[in-house]
Amino acid sequence: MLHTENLTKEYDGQRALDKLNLSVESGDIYCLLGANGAGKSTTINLFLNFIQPTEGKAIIDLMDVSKEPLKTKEVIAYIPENLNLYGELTGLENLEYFVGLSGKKYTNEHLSDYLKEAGLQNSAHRQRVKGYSKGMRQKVGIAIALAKRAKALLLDEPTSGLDPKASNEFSELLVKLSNQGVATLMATHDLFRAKETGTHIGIMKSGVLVEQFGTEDINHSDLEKLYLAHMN
Amino acid sequence: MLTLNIITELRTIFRNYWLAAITLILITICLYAGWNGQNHVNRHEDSIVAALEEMQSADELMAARLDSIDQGLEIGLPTWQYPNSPTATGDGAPRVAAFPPGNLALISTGQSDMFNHYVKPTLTGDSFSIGFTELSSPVSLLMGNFDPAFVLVYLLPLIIISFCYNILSSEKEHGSLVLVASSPLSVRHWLLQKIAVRFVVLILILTICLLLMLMMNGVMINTDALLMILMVWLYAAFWFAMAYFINLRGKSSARNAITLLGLWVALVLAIPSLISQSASTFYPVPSRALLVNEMRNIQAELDKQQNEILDDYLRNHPELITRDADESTAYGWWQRFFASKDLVSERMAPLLANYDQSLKKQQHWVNQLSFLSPAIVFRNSLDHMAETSTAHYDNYRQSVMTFADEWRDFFLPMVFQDKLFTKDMIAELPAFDMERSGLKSPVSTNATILLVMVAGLMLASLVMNRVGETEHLMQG
Repeated sequence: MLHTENLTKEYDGQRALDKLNLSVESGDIYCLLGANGAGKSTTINLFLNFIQPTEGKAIIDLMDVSKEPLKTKEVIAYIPENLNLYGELTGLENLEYFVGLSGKKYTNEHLSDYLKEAGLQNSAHRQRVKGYSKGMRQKVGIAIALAKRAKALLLDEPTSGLDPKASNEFSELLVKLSNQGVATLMATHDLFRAKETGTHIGIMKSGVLVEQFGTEDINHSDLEKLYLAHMN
Repeated sequence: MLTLNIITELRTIFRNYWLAAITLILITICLYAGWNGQNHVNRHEDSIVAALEEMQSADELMAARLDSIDQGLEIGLPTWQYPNSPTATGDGAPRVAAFPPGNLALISTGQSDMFNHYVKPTLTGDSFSIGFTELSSPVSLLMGNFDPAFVLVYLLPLIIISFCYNILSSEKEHGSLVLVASSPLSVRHWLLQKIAVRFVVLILILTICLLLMLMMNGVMINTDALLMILMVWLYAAFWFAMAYFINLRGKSSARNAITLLGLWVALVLAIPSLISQSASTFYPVPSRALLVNEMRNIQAELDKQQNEILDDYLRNHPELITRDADESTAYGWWQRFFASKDLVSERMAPLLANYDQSLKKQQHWVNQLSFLSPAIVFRNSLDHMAETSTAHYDNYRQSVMTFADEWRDFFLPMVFQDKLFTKDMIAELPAFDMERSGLKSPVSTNATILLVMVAGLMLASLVMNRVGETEHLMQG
């Protein structure tokens, strides 16, 4: 579902991403680990067409992102580290709007169902988002992904700043989406969450994917050692 | 997407204090400016009404005195002031040549501050230097009047800038743009829809404010009024298009605000001032004081040649010859006076033509360069619709000069043929009628210029940075 072929990005001659080749299939949760500046967000931004590759390709559902940016965006959902919705609108209205931008239209009842499915309590649906916590906003993001019926989910440090309970709820939702066949690419610093939630882990360093393996092939302790070894 | 975008933008706007603040500001300044403009119009009208009432009283008194003279009664005036004397009546009972304010006069003070609203051409007065005085208030010169034109030309762009300078950058800075940009849509078109909604909302509020302001001041809502509102829409559209263009550059809110304010200073203040200054530099208008001085010199020179002048004059106007006229009678004096007056006019003609020509060249220069500033184009249209433009006052001046000649031509044969003014002639006295048909309206041309400006900006916005559009907008 999500593929890269020698994906490279340079900023003023500085290589931020160096010939990245990775593959995330339907139902996979691929966690990208790495220090700040390792190239995790750059990879996600290239899939979103927020930036243009210097070389190589980002491919979503067999479509080249650079060539068909709008079509590829029809099948993806994105949740950034800080999901900033429109504060003056309610959760329901935000969901209606962002889902509507993808050309999908639902009744309020259906939208409420999606918010419920994402774990947002009923009483918050019609509250203005400016009063939401970060966890509540991230749940609206998940609801957007659910309602968009996205085939692929791009997450850029989505659990950063969430309390353990909210983080755990978020992980459960990712697993649920994975079981529905959604391919997930998540950039994160959270080793524990990556091991618990992910199906695959990739470690990036200075724009290079230095390691990748299945989460079942490694335990928590070895993962931490391997990660720290690459960070030094 | 369009309907959804409209609904969401309306929800966001209406739930924000900004709209309430802008509405309140617009209502307050429009109504205050309208009230101010109407006060100016009222003063203008009052002065004309007072002059007409004074003229009517004078006419009634003149009729009564003429009756008394016919009956051989004493009227208590020296004989040279008797109303049956054509020179006394021609000078003492002038008609009011008034320029009444137009229906939309309150929207723009224009040149009405600089010129008299009425004049009284007399038989012996100088028709070419009829009292068109210069503006006397330096404060008005500096700031202009707080009339609707000031609000629309100067303040409206600032309100639009404050409403739209950060329409994209705030989304970027707040973080919601990434969600929008991850949707399958063109951010450029999405932004266009957002700004179009804001345009419609602001235009709706502004139109209501303007209609309210016009109706509260008793202005008839006719085609001209609607045309004025249409021009306001176009001028507002220019500033919205400019805000769209600047937002699409993908810079920060602060940078957008500074850029838009810089453009406001350039287009509304600097360019009009530079054009005005260059007009005076390239096509200087001779001083009016010099003109009057020149006229006196010519008069003094001609006074020395009175007899020759009269002979020449009567040779050219044999119909005015009377046997009794010579230097020893009052009529003889007047004949010499008018004969030399004509000669003064002839000698002054080239100077006056030069004066008028310079004014016309200045106007032409300003018109030619008006495309450099939407403010000039818009202001020019407002002044024209308010009938307070330079062209209107020039037209009024020409009409007054024509009327002054007509007035003189009415009395002059009586002066030269030693005839008396009678009561029956009061009804035959020439009346001033302002000729307006010669005025060409610049509104349609100006509307086209504004439309082209808006279309140009929109076109530039739609083609700018098409390659890597999202990267450009996201990264700035």
